[in-house]
Amino acid sequence: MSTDVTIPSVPRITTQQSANRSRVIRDNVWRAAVLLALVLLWALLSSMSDLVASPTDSLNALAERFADGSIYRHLNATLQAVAIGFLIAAAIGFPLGYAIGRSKFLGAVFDPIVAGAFAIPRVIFFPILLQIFGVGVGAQSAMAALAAVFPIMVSTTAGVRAINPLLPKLARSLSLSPVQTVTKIYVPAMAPSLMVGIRIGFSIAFINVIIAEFFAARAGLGLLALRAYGMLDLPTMYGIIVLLAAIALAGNLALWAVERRLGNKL
Amino acid sequence: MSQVSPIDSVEHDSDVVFDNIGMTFGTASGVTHAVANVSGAIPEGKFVSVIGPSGCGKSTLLDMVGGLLKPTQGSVSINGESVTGPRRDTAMVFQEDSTLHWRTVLDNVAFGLEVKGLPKAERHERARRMIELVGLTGFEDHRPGQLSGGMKQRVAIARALAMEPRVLLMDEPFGALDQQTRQFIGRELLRIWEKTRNRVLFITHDIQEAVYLSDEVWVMSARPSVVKEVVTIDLPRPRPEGTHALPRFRELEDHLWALVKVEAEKTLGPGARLA
Repeated sequence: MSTDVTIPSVPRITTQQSANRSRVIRDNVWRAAVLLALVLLWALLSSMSDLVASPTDSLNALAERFADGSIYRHLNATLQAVAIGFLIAAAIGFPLGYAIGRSKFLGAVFDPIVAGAFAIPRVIFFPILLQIFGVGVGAQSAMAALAAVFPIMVSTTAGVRAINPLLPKLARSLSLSPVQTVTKIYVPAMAPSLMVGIRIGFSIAFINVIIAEFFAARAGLGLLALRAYGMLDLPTMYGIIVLLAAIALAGNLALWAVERRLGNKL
Repeated sequence: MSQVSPIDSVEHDSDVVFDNIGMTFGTASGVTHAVANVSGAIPEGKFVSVIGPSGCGKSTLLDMVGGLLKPTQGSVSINGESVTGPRRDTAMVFQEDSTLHWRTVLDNVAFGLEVKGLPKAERHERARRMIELVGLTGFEDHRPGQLSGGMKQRVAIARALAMEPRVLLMDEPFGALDQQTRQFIGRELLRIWEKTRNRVLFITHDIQEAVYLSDEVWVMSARPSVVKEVVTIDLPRPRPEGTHALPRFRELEDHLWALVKVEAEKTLGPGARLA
């Protein structure tokens, strides 16, 4: 009678949960251990080479920059450019990727173009962006947008194509409006690939802002690092690298957490 | 053998009526006649199954009633109105899983009502009733990922029934399930249907299933398909578990099998012989 009814028993859930919890603890311990090992390796390298500042010197240099407030201008410029660039990339990449994924015609036209353009190092366009926007946050934002729009677009297209083909059919049979079809079917069905797009888009935007700041900028962490290097102020340079890593890690962890929560719901 | 030739024009306003419908597709290799000249009607409270060789346009027929495809010839009318697009009074159940995996069972079943704009309390109340009807009480807060294939199909059936459709369109709804589940859920469907008595148009290629469930079985021919014969299933209802063993059941099954075999052999080409 109940051949297709499987009810997971309650005790199994609890043992599974406690097993999960201990696994999470174990993973976190190992993560911390790997991080510690990397810092030790860094300390070891700094004692062997003049090109590497020691972890303590670097963190002190960074703390000094925060203490005298000189870093905030740069931090703001970088974060602003990442945020603006990412938002522009999202505003263009999601709808465009969606359209390419849904329309056979647009897919046929744009698939090879997107694939080809994906391989062009976007930084090659930075001099032109500088001409258009002038030296400043505008040019860095444009650089970030140009770079991040591709991964966002590509993962959105892939997400649209991976959707269960019955769901659009269901939407039609239930007479969903075009807006309802997007908000009630496509977006939730594609949530995981949308999150991947956001996470990769954020990373790419961040990377490209720093690269752009190396070329020409009025302010920014990339500029600051480059200047420190020019003055052979290695502790500051390594300190900024640590800061960049911390920002990237924090951003990704936050997005990962959202992704995982979504994943658990699915 | 109670056989009726394809109905010519049983015009009844409240019925689902096919008026000489046909469907041709333009394909790379020319024009394909998927369906040609199908006429018939699904009367109030009747369970109609359509069987025929694969590729005979059974699903095309269903999509035309559902308003997803427009016939290139003739028209389908429901309650006297010609079907021009998806209607609120038809609901579909598909062969593969069509549950929304990010929603709970309750919100899956309530989905059609939500889209229709029914207030939350009302749609949940109706969804709960449907969940009880399909035997999923206790699973309201589960997500489809936690359910078996048969249970997911019951969610899809409940979602369709919640719309209180004039006609329930089922496109091989148990085709993707294993044999045991299939028989079980077939009995379940009959139990549910005895209570709701919607018109049902049920596509299947399982002859036993068609006989067991239906009031009428339409046998479609190979392409271009017409309804070759309408076989009335005169088995008494309700149909308890032993129904499959009745001599009359066997007779109907044999008769349908003979009809389908001829068409399947046509599809498979000359020389093909089916046991």
